[in-house]
Amino acid sequence: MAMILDALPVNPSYMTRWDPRWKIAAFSITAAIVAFCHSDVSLLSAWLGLSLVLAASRLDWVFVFRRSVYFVAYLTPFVALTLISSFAGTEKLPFRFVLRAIVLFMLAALFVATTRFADVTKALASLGLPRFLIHLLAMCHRFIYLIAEEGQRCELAMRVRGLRATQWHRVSKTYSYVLAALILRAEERAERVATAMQCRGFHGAYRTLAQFHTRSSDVVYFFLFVGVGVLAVAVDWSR
Amino acid sequence: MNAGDDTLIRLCDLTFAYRNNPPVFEHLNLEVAAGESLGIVGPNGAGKTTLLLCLAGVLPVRKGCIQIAGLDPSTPTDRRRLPAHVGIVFQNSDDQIIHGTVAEDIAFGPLNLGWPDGKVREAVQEVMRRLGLQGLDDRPPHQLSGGEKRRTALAGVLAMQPDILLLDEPSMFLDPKARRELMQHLNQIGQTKLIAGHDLDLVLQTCQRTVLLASGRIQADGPTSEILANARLLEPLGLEVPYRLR
Repeated sequence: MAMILDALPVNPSYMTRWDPRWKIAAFSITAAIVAFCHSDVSLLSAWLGLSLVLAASRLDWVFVFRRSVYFVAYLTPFVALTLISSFAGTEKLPFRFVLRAIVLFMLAALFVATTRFADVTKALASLGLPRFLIHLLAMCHRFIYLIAEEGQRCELAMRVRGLRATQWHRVSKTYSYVLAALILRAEERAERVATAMQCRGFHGAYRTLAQFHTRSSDVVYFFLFVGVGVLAVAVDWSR
Repeated sequence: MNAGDDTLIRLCDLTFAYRNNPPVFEHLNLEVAAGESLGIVGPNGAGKTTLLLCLAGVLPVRKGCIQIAGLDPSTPTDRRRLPAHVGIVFQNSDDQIIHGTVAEDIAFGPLNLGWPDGKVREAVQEVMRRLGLQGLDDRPPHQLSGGEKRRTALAGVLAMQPDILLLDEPSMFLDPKARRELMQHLNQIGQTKLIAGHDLDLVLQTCQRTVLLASGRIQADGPTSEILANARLLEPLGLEVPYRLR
């Protein structure tokens, strides 16, 4: 089953080789900077800069575009607002919102596409994120697929037994039953998973095979990434 | 365990009941020698899984005693040491595979045991080679077939190099080819094995000795070929003599 969270097939590039700890730090700071940009010029510059980085990262564009569908659906009302406001000649707020969201989506897509999930969790652990949160993140990433698969099986079972989308009352009632069943099954599964983890010697520590080595290029990329962003926001706020 | 005694598992007068329920089994006495493969068969609700969970220290034992690999699962100190000696493979592999990739998941147990990274990597590669999982290192679990998931779950336990392996319904959800491959792998494992399940043909091909658990008691204990050929013993319990013994 392919899902939006599936790892993207990615070609080797400087982005894939970048130490995940430095990458997380650079991306987090850049995301914060983008959130603080308040002019069209700085946001457009960020979009342009990131587009160049994306192009150099050798991503598989088909996969990126497939995942963009959900994001575009989310953005549609804001794009509509932008169009309305541009025709009315009023505030440009929706346009900036759309632009900022696109830049943040590009950052997230770039990060997800070029970093293995096991490396992300290990990097977060070495950056000092609480173990509880890392376990939670790792478990969500692992089991969301299983719960989605169970949901799909339930939906199929309903359809083959004659449930039609037009029967609104029955559909909503049945879906609420299915949701309740899924929550109960997830709870039972959580118990079994916890037991299995204990049987494999788990006592709360987060350990993985991922190993990181900081090279000088990692630091250079970090300062380049963050430096350009800081410069843009500084220019932005000085005007 | 006494010196010179090769008994690796000893149950004495073991009784277990879930809270507010009648006992699942009562007064079980059983000994399993090092290197032995023991099949545990019986109808649904006979207590096969419960027995394995008691042995693995998951369920607390209040009546009777268990000695397993020289440890007593009822004491917290020994229970903490159990995972290094006793590995359990659960019915549903999806409950057991918890990491995002095959290699990371297999490494989970050895890393928890505090092994150095180099040793863990060696153990992971070795067990992946043995179970035919090469090339699947970075594969996410939801992209594995049923047989691959089962082998990954087994590999995750074997990588910890336990003295005793407990397998609960190992052939569940497997197609005939994956089941056949699993049997081959199980026969290559030298550790003491306890295999619980309804798949009598698998038990016949992987275990020298079998116990029949029913109505909370051990109804029969002996060579697998004799127990599983006894239709008068099996049929009242809803079990059937395997095809190759008919």
